Amino acid sequence: MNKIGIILTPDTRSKAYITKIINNKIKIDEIIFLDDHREEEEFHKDVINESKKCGFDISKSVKNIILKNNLIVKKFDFVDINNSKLIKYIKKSNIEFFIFTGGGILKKDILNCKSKFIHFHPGIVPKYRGSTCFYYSILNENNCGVTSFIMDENLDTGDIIYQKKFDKPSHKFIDDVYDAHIRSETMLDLFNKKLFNKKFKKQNVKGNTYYIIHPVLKHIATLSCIMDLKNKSN
Amino acid sequence: MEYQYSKKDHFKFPEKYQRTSFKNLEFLNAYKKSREFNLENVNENVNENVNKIKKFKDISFKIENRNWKNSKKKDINTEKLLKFLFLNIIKKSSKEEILLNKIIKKFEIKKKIFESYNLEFKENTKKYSNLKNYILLSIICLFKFKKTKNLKFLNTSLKLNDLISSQIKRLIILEDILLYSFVIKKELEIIVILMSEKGVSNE
Repeated sequence: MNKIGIILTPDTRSKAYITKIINNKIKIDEIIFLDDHREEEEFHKDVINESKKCGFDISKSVKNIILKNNLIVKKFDFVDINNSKLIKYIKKSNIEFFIFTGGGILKKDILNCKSKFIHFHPGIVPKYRGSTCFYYSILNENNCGVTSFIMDENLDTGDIIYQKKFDKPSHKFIDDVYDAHIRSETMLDLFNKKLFNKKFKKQNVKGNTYYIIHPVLKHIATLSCIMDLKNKSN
Repeated sequence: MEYQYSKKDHFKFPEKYQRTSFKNLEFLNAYKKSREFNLENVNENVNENVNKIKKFKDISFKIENRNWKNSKKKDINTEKLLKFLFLNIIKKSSKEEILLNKIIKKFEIKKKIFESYNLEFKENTKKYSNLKNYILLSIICLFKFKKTKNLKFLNTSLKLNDLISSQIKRLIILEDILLYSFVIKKELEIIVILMSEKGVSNE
C-alpha cells in the first residue's frame, strides 16, 4: 500500500477534499495543514446549498472540519509550499505521495524531497494549462476536465496520473463550488481506482497556456451554463 | 450598472482580474455600452473619418517593417518588434508565434508593455506608457483569434483594450485613434458573435 498524505490550506478546495476523504472513509497517512489564519470568507445561502449538493459545505472552515472530526494534523503558520520549515519536515516523512490542494509552483528544494506531490488541475493538459481553464473549456468544448499529475518545476507540465471529464455546471458558482467539486471528485477516483501505482504518462511538451480569464469571457461562459439549462427546461 | 474594468487608471492601479464577480447579463450590456461610449468619444475628437480602417489588411499600409533587434545595444525595441510581428503574422507566418507568446506572457504577468527589452526578454527600461504598443499587441491578438479561434488571444486583447480605454484621454495621435477605433469595433463584433454562438442573449 502506498503511503498517502494531504497538504491542506484554508480555502474552498481543501474543504471539498477533506470532507470527501472523511465521508468516503479514505485512509490518509498524514495530514498537514498550512494555516495563515486568514479571515474566513462568508458565502450566500445559494452558494452554501449548491456546495452541499456537491458533497461539501463551503460555510465550514477547514479548521472546524479538522476539529469536529478529531483529525490528527501537523500545523504550520504559513501557506507557502516552498517554506523551509515545511521542506525540513517533509524530508523526514515516509509519505510517498502528498496531495497538494493549494496553488503555486514548487521550487527545487521541495522537489528534491523523496515524496512526490500530486496536483489536481481543472483542465485537460496539455491543451488546457494555466489559469481558470474550466472557463475556457466550457467555451471551447462545452465541458470541463481535470488532470491529476505529479508536480514538477514548471506550470502544469508534470507526468499525468489520471484525467477525467465533467459536464459543464448547471449553476453559476463556478469559482467557489464547481472548481472544488470537480477536483475533489477526481481525487476520489484516484483512491477508489487505486491509481497511485500506475505508470504515469509523460506530457507532450507542446500545449496551450491560458492566463486568468477576462470578466467578459467569464460571463459568457457562466451564462452559457445557466441559459442552456433555461432553454432545456422551456 | 457600470463597466468598471476600464474606469480606473491601469498604469497606476494594474487590474489583475482575480476572482472577478459574476453579475449576470447586465454586465455584458454594461461592457458593450462602455466600449460604444469610448468609440463615440474618440470619434468626436477627430475631424477625419475614424472608420478609415475596416480590415486588418488596411493597417499594413500604416505600419512599416523595421529592424526591431539592435544587436549593438543588445536590446529589442518593442514598438518595432510589434510592427514586425503584425506584418509577419498577417502574412500567415507562424514562425513568429514564440515571440508573440513571450510578449503576451510579459503583459499578462507585469500588466505593462515596456518600451524595450534585452535579448532575454527582460525589461531594460522603466518606460511603459507608449499606448501604441498596447494597441498593436491588441490588434495582433485579435487577428490571431480570428485566424485560430484560440481564446487566449481574445482574452489578452480584452485586457489590453481595458487598459487602453483607461487611458483614452491620452490618445491624441491620429494613427493611434484610428487603430483604437478599429480594434474596439473588431472586439465588439467578435464578442457579439461569441455570445450568439453560446446562446447568450437578452431574449
